[in-house]
Formats: sequence, structure tokens, C-alpha cells
Amino acid sequence: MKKCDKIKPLFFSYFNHELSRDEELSLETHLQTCPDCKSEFDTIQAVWESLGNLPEPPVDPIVITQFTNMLNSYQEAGPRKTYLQQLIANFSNFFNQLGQRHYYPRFAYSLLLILISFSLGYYFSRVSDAGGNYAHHDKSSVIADKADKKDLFTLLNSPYAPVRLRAVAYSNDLPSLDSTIVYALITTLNNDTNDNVRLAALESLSRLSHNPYVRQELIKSLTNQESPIVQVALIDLMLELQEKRSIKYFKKMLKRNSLNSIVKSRITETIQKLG
Amino acid sequence: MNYNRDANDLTDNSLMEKVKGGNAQLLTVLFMRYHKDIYRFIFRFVRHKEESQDLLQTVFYRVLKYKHTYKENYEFRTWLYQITRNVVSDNFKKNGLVYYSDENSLADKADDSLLIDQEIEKQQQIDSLNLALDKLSFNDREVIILSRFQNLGYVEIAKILNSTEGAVRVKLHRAINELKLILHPKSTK
Repeated sequence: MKKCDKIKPLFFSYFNHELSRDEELSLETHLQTCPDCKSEFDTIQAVWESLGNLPEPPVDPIVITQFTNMLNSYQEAGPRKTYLQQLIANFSNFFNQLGQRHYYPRFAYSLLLILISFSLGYYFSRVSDAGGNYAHHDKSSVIADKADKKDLFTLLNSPYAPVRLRAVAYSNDLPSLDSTIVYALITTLNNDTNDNVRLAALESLSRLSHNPYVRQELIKSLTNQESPIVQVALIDLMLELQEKRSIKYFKKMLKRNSLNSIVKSRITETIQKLG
Repeated sequence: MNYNRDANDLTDNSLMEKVKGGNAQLLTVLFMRYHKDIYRFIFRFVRHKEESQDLLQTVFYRVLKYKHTYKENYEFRTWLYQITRNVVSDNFKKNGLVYYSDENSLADKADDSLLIDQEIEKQQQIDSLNLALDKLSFNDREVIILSRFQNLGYVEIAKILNSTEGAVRVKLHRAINELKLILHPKSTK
């Protein structure tokens, strides 16, 4: 009986192929000689395998948006270190390292004072820019250095198309996008005056086309586009997504007299393929 | 822009150390790594989509809230599962053991005349198995979910449950026997 008690807990490792060859052999030999254990082994194996047949629960991508919202509200509510506090923390670290190397404390103290003065100057110049005007800074370095949502909005509204283009490209590098950024990208897709910026926004949004809201906005955007190059890109996306709801919008577009002939034939082709 | 690429190369533990140090944004990388496993773990318990989504956010909120308790020598994944376990357990204490109607259960598909016999049989098996799991105690259900659906080794499960590897195997054996008795009431242990 003692042998049985030792063998039984090994059943699961046996199912998972986690036993050594010797252990497997010992278990198999025991099962051949002990009908009680064999019967228990068979029923447990049946239950174990049926559990394996349970379908894996699907995960709705909306949880990513929910997470971003949770994180944003946590960061807004929680104590946040200001830029100045972070700088001081970095400098005090540096100061400690200097101390370990037996430099004169007075020298380190003067250096700290100078650095604080500089950082204060930078901090206040930044505060005065908080209204959203980055005209004094090199824009590309702002994009690279500040992984900040507010900056992204400011840049998306910049009067300079290359800056807006970089802002849209930057949104691709964020690990996830919250609903406000998605909304800003949709606005850019529908209203930006520059073709390339709208195309970039389309590319970013097409990555999120599994989201029902984004998908709906992409379809609706068909009739908002005037530029043939953006129209063609959207039409191709609809085909790629096999989006039958777009047909209604294609038909509306076909009614326009101003529609480019290439776009017209692309739409007709796509309607056939989708239908 | 290399910020995100670099963060993706970091280990779980060093990311969590940075989150603890005040860079909450980096929790996003950990969320992307684990949210599917954690969601499925929760869903196996509550089998309700919206409730599972809420509890998933609660888990990651608690990671932020209790980040100061994270120690360098902790295995992040084990710690995350321990938090999840507490969140699910708190939910059970609040709402009790609830028997859920699965969104995909046969009852909801009854009108679908396209279901062929084979599918009906398969769905019946799934339904009865889910119902049987519902009837298990929290601890029995937990050990089955961790070992059968989460692809975790017994050593890690033991750490999550604050137990030993041998004890986990014994618990699992008992839990599966309980499940067997619910599924086939006439059989003996």
C-alpha cells in the first residue's frame, strides 16, 4: 500500500513527461501489477486529458486600453517626481560617487550648486513652454527625449508637417495607445492638410484595426478623404481586412464626379472582390 | 525612441525594480508580457468576461500600489501570480462561490440549428467539465488551474502557493480525484 501512495502523486508528472526513464519504468511496472492503481490511473488520465480539451479563453484587446487608462490615472493621482527632483536625484548620485573617490567636498558642493542653477534655468524655461510652444527647442530631440503624451498632442498639432509626421511615427513606438491618442490619430487622418501625415496616421491606425471603434472610424474615413493616394491606401486596407461594411461607403464615393479615375477602378475592383 | 526597444530587452525583475524606483510607465512592458496568462487564470475562476477584465486591472493596480514590497530576489512572475491569487480570492470572499453561465454554453447556443451532433457532444463535455470545476473548493480549483492551464512547473506552483513541491502534487491528486467524483459520482477514490 505504501508503494501505491508513493506512485500516485507521480501520475501528473508522467502525463507531462517530466519523469526520468527509470521513474517511468517503475510506474509502468507498478501499474501492471496493481489493478487498483491502474484503474485510478486510467480515470485520472481521462479527467486530465479532458481538461486539456477546454478551449482557451480569448483575451479582448480592450484590456490594453483599460490598462493604459488605469496607469494614466495612477500616475496623475500618485506622487510624481518633477523634472527638477529627478535632476537633483541624479546629481546627488553623482555627488555620492565623487565622495567615494575622496574628492574635496567643497568642490563637489560648488559643482552641485552650478548644476542646480542650470537645471533651475532649464526647468523654468520648460514651465514657460507648457502652453505647448516648442519653438525654442530642436523638435526632433524633444520627440526622442520626452516619452510624454502631452508632448505627443502638441507635436500632432504643430504647424510644421515634418513635426506632425514624426509625432505620428512616434506613436508607433509606444507600447500601447490609450483612447485619447487613438482619437488624436483619427482626427489627424481625417483633417490633416498634408497627404504624408494622413498616410502615416492611417498606417498607425491600421495596426489597431482589430479594435472595433478604430475599424469603424477607418471605414467612415473613406468618404472624408480627397487625396487619391490616401483613398487608394484606405481602399487597399479595406480589402486586406475583408471589410464588407466599406462597400456602402465605396458606393457613395463612386457618386462623386471629382473622383480620380484610378481610384474609381480600384473601388470597382475591390467591391467585386469583397462581394 | 530606443527607450522601448531597450525596455523590451530587460528582464522581468529589472523592469520591476525600475517600476519600483518610480518609472511606472515601464509596467506596460510587464503588462504586455503577462496580461494574457493572468487574464486566463482569472477567467478560469470567474468565467465572466467583464469581471475578469476588471480583476486583471486590479491585479496590475496592486502591483503599482504594493511595488515597495517587491524585493530584488523575488521572481516577478511568481510574485504576480501571488497577487493575482489574492485578488481572485478576495473576490470570492466578497461574492462567494458563484455558479456562472458561460457565454458559450450550450444553453446559449440552443437555437443554433447549425450545430451538428458532434459539436453538441463536445460542447456538452465542456459545459459539464466547467460546471464540475465550479463545484470544487477554491483551493482545489486553484491547484488544477495553475498546473493544467498555466504551464507552470511544480516548483513555481509551490512558491506561488507557499507550499512544497511534494505537497502540491498531493493536493493536485486530491483535487483531480474530487473533480472525478463530481463528474462520475458512482466511482470511488
